[in-house]
Amino acid sequence: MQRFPEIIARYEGWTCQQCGKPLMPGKAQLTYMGSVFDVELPKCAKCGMVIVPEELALGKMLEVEQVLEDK
Amino acid sequence: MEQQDLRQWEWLCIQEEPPLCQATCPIHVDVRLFARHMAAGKVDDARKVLAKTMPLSGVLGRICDHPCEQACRRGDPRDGDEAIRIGSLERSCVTQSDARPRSIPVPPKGKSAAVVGGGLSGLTAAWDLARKGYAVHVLVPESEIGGVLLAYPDKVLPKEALVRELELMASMRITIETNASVDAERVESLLGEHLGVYIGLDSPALIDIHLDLGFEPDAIDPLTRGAGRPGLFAGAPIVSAPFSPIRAALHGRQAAVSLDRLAQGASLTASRDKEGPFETRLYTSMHDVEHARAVKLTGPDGYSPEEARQEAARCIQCECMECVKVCPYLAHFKGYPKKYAREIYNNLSVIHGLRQANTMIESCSNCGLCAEVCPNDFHMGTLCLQARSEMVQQDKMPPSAFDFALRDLDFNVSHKAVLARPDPDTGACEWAFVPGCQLSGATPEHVRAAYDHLRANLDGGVGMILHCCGAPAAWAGRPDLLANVTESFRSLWKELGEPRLILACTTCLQTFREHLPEMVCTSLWETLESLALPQGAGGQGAYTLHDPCTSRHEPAVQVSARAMAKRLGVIVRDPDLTGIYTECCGFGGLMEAANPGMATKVVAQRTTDNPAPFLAYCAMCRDSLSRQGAKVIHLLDLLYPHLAREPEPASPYPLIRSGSGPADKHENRARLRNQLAREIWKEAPEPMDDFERIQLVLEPEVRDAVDARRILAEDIQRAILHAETTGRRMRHEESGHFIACHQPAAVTYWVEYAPQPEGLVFRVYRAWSHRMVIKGVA
Ligand code: SF4
Ligand code: SF4
Ligand code: SF4
Ligand SMILES: [Zn+2]
Repeated sequence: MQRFPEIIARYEGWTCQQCGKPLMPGKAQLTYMGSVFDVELPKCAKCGMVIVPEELALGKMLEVEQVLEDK
Repeated sequence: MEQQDLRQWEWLCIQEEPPLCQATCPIHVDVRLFARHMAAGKVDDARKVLAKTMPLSGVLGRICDHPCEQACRRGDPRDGDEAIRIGSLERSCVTQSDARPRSIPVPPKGKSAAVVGGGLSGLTAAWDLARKGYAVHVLVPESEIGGVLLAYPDKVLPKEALVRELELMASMRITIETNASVDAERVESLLGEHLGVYIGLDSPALIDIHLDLGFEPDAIDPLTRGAGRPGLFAGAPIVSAPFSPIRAALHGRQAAVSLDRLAQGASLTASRDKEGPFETRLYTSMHDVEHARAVKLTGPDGYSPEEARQEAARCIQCECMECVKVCPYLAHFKGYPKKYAREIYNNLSVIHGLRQANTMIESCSNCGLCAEVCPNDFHMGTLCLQARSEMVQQDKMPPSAFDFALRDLDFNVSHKAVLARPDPDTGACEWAFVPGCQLSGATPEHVRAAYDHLRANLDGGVGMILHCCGAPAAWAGRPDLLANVTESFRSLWKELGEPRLILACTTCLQTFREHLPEMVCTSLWETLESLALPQGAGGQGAYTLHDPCTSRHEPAVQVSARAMAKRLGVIVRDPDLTGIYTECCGFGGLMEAANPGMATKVVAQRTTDNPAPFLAYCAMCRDSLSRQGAKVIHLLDLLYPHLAREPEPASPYPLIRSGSGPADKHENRARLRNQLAREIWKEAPEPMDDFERIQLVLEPEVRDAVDARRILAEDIQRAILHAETTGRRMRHEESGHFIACHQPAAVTYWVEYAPQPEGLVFRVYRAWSHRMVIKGVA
């Protein structure tokens, strides 16, 4: 599983409004063009909703997307 | 792409054809590379280049009669100056260097050939055959080896030079028999012992041997060197013309090829047309070449090393590259179209593994400048568009490339943006104004102003059609979608009674000419030329006129645009590339969508090569050029100066402004459609979608970032609406901000926002997106 503790640390203080639970680092799965990746994301312990941090979406994830697109 | 299509494309690009010198050289010495090494002072490397094709380079390099020089591009009487002195350079090279024997041992073929004659021609045949692995028996009638070579003065061809080459030959599978008696009987037995015999006639002792052997020198086959009977070959007769060493070498070489083919049972004649001099298709422009005469020969011993370096540096390293010189996109991938065609073909054939040409295929602007400058009209855009549609069909088009543009197109043919109405006063429709998506998105106020002006000045009723022409579908490799869009346009046009169309955009013009040829189209500029100017029209100053790339083959449009500019009081000058050679603004072919960095390069070249300010007459060109900070105005700005936003009267160019981003354009089109329907055709407004009630507040930096990420206001509105109605959102206690996400299709959008006290107003702090899908949270 890929971990990005520094990025996740920036999302402390966010809570899931539906469940009232604080977001904690938790496992999530991302898929793209047939590949599946396990990553740690800020996640609601109750309903499982996650945030994909901006830093991740525009950084590592974009890189992987581009590799999978064979750019 | 089929292999034969690839061959067709490859054939068009002549960049890999040999330069004139090499094609004319009977043995095709790579003169260009040789000269490059000589110019760099790398004499040993230059010698290796010679030795690669040249037999006995220490001899031939000194005495070659250099027919290549006659052909040298520099020596062309029409636009050149003086040919490179290739012969003198070769001489200088071989006197300064030594050819070491080749170290690669050739496996013996187990067969042998005989050569009669110790002249250059016979020695060449022996040299070539030995290098192919044959054992060679050379019969020299004289006591000394060399034939005609022995007649050269020592200053020109020192004895040691020949001796050195004979030493090299001694290390090959060659035996030389001097004082050999050669007559018909001997040749007969040689023919029996060996696979064949070559008679090199460039030896005084052999001057009459043909009489003995019963062939005429004139009747020797010019291609195979066949001399009238199987296995017998001959060449290099001493004729009255001055002895040509290179011709003698060629004859020996041709015979060696024939003997080799004979040994292999192959055809003696098939595909030999590139042996000996041939015509090359290479094109080389002398346009930017500075003229310079050849370096003079000062001493009797030829060029000194320094003189040779200088003379070699005059070689212009002939190549074509005409298209690469003018297209930053072609230059970026470090090759030329023939190479690119192969890469694209390979890319399309990949089943597993990396498709390395995707970015290249997606980034071409399809502007066609390459075809204009290419001697064979190679149109890289056509090739890329074919490749794109093939990728789409194979389901291999990366979703990120054209997705955004296609979503934009969807919107532009939806009821939110489309409008087709006859003249509001008369209901007649002899004409219809088609502003196009770009102008409607960039400056909707110009659409309205131009429409009013046309209506006031044209008879027969002027209607309006707001609808995409389909160009983005064609660019994205979606002929299916293009067909739908043009079909939908056609039916609107029919409903209006087939009006004559007035087009503000040359891309629409180009698309309609090709796909809806039954429609009569003229450009807005041609139409306006014959009408009175609107009140208050006019400007001043001097501008560089940028023709859109899609006007390339529309000279009437280009002429009208210039005439209008003149009428409006401004001075226009042409950029370096103009008219049929105009450059793309970086938007065409969806270059900007697929590869923003490439579009930036293209614009940067245009704006640094030419003085600002620019005058454009395509909304997209205006926006693209201004995106790089170049000062640009649109012809319509001069027609309607009172519509300028935030005019700066103090500036000499008060009409200059930067273009709207894609998100704004989207909004502008919807607004324009509703405004026109309401104000001109007195229609009730379309019911609003729920998400449209969400009002956004974005600081300028946020807006720029959102634009650059190609996130539409609509995407943000939908994400917020979704969060607000379902309650599925994250909350930050301290700041009171929310984060929400929404995945309408392939892309997931995120937004951090805070509700404002009044109504449905939300302040947006940031928005981002990704394509990876979160499993279970779709
Ligand atoms: S202009 Fe370009 S495509 Fe045409 S022959 Fe030259 S290098 Fe090839
Ligand atoms: S300029 Fe150089 S490459 Fe071109 S023909 Fe002359 S020698 Fe050959
Ligand atoms: S961008 Fe234009 S000039 Fe360059 S390769 Fe594409 S069509 Fe040709
Ligand atoms: Zn929850």
